[in-house]
Amino acid sequence: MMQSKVLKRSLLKGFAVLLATPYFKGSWASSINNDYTQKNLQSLPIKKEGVTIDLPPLADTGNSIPMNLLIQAPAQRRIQSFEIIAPENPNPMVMKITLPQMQSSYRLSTRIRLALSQDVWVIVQLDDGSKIGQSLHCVVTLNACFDAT
Amino acid sequence: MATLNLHPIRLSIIGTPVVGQEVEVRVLIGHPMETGYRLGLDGNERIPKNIIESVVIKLNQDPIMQATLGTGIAANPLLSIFVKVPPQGGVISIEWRDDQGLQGRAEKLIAVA
Repeated sequence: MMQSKVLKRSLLKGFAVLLATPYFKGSWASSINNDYTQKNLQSLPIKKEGVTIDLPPLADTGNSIPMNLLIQAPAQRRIQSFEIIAPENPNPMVMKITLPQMQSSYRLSTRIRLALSQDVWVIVQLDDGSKIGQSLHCVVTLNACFDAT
Repeated sequence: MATLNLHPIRLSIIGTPVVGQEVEVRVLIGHPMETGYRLGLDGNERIPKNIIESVVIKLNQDPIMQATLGTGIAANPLLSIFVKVPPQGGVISIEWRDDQGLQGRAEKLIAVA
């Protein structure tokens, strides 16, 4: 009798865990998005070196802003992946690039959208797990994303 | 898998490729990159989100760059990267896929003298 009670309890526990898993997964995903706030990015323990961002200080339209990037990894380190983050955009993750063949330096040009005037961040993940990054302020006179045009 | 004319790709190699040195590869994809935040002409309904989600660039079938794009990339995405030219030259190819399942592909020969 006692044994069957224990079995019943453990089954119920397992069922509860199964039910709760998607909920916790969801909350974990949303917490990752919250990491992209300006405040969190400023408090990240990253070295501000090795990343050069080239953005116009004043852009007439936020719909298309040319962006050049030059990443130079520290000595004997290689670049694994990097992210371009615009914290004030409705979707802060602008682009994430993974390099299957890790390199010590990388250059990239693209065109980004900015919803508001803000600091644009580049966070680079190195092969030893450490991170380097840089941010640059860009003033946008005509905002993208929120207008109805 | 042919590229749709709706979304043309231009893949260009800038300059003369020299073995062992880097050459610039530019990719321009004709795609609206709708964010899902814009209102349509009637001012009531939003234009559905339609963005390129992933871009993979390969050199001689080996992936050299995998990109996940968000809504923060401008319409008609332009990517310019620098690729080290292999000893025998090679073929550079790009594949993209958007969130509506459309995909496109282009490739270009890097000919070395």
